[in-house]
Amino acid sequence: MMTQSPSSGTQTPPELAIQTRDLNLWYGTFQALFDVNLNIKKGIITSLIGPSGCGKSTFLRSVDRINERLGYVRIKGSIEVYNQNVYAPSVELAQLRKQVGMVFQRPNPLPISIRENILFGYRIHNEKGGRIAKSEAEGIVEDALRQVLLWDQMKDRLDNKATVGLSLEEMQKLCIARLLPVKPTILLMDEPCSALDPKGTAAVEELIWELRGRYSILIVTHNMAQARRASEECIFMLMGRVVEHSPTEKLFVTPVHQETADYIEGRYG
Amino acid sequence: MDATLHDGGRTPSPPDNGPPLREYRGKQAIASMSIDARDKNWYIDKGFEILMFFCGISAIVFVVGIFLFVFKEGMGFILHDMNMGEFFLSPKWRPTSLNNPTYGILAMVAGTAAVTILAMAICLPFSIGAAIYIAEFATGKTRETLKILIEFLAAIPSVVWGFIALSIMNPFIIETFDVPMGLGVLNSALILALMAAPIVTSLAEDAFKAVPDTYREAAEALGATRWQTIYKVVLPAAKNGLLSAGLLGVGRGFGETMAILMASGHSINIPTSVFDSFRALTATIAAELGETAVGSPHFQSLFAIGIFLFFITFLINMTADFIVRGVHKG
Repeated sequence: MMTQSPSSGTQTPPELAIQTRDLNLWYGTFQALFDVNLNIKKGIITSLIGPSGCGKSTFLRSVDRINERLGYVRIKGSIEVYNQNVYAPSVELAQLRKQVGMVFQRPNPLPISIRENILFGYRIHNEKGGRIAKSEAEGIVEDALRQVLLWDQMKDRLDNKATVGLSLEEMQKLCIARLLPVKPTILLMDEPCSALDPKGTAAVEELIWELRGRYSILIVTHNMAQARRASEECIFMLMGRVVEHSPTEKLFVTPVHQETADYIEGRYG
Repeated sequence: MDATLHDGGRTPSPPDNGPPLREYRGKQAIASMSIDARDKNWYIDKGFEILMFFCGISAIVFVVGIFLFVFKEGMGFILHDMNMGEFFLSPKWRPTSLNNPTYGILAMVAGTAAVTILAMAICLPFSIGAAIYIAEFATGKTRETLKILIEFLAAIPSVVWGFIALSIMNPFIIETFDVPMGLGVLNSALILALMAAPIVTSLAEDAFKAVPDTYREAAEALGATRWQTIYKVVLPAAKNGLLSAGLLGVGRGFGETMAILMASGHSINIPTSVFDSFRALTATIAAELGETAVGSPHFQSLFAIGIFLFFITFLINMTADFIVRGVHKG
């Protein structure tokens, strides 16, 4: 049901959400990315596939610079988010991360109430020092939870702690919901369904599909079936290099490179 | 050989703690004669287990033993000479009075409590600050060096702290605040704060380390700065551990003897200013126990103070333990 090919109208070049130029990345002395050149389009879902250790998570985590927490990461080349190099010295991390939200592999709600989880980012980016009127807060929480299809389950327990009593699926949806109030333009998702059961996976995938158009979504996945049904463009990476980037349909049906064909047929990985 | 291997397949596999299968098969020729081989190693193993068991329960034996001994001595006083109201509510500690001995510990409790509170007020901000720096900011060598230095602080004997109180802090307080005497609440609290700092710092650091890194990652990915992450996420998540660190510091304050004996001035009165001299419960026991006749009411009253101290520290440690357990339950 989700296999329609991306709009192939080629009159005007589509606007780009993320653009990288000769991106090389090292963890200490180990090089994890080699000359990555990618043009990721705005408003669609792009999936990143490839075997373990191919650099797909590394790439994802360097877009919002969360990689830098490790302290021993070195980068050459550039990543541009809406034509702004995120590694330029003038870039403020808080502003970058406001624009680029991230969903992690394991749902990681903060150990505060559901309501405060959703308001966390909003308070941080609010000029008035995090003080918001109660009615405004209520509106934000409801709106965010409605967008992730969680409002009906959560509306009566907004003050409960978000780390207990929620299923993994609900937690992951909450983690997506808390990104929305700060109005990001790009959502990065690092295997968002790998900790979930099939039912949860289906629900979160449906949600991601629901969000496309409003956000540019870049999703790393191990699950080729998921990439196939839940993305419009697909990037195949291998050993830190981009092998192929094309519309999902095309990549899975008529891959250009032999490595891609072998991988999607399950000969390795 | 063929037969042995075949047999190896049919013999029931060894119990969980038996040797791994490959080894088992290799020894098959010998083992098949007697599976139940209580060889030398078996006896060494059993003997070691029993020895370790006694080492393990020895702590309980000693605690119970000490408690019984202190309680036995103290009970004589509590049953015969003690007036409950006087003991807790009178500030007059005159055990050596010939006509009318009074045993009131109120002044000492007040002094000990005042010093502990002031010491914690000084110690906690520094210790928690140090713990935040070590756990959240420092890396590599800086971090290791700091940890070693802080542990070094814990290794200084308390009599040396007492000496510092007498010879350095005393004149310093006299000059700085222009008071006649530098021994008292302030001096003791400063010394106690320094003495409690290492343990509070390292416990607070443990509390920060126990906060899952995914929380920090989540907060930073939402755009929080390091400080916002610590203030809004790490500190609240670590608050139980911090509370218990503070409580153990308080326990340290109530129990400290030698340094306080030297820094307090050791005169019995309820302190009304930070420069007042006072006397600590522990210091009273330390100073007077050697001077009393064994078995006299005075001797026994000191044991009653011991029981009181025992209960206070027991209560504090239990509370701290309870709070930490609460954390792990989520």
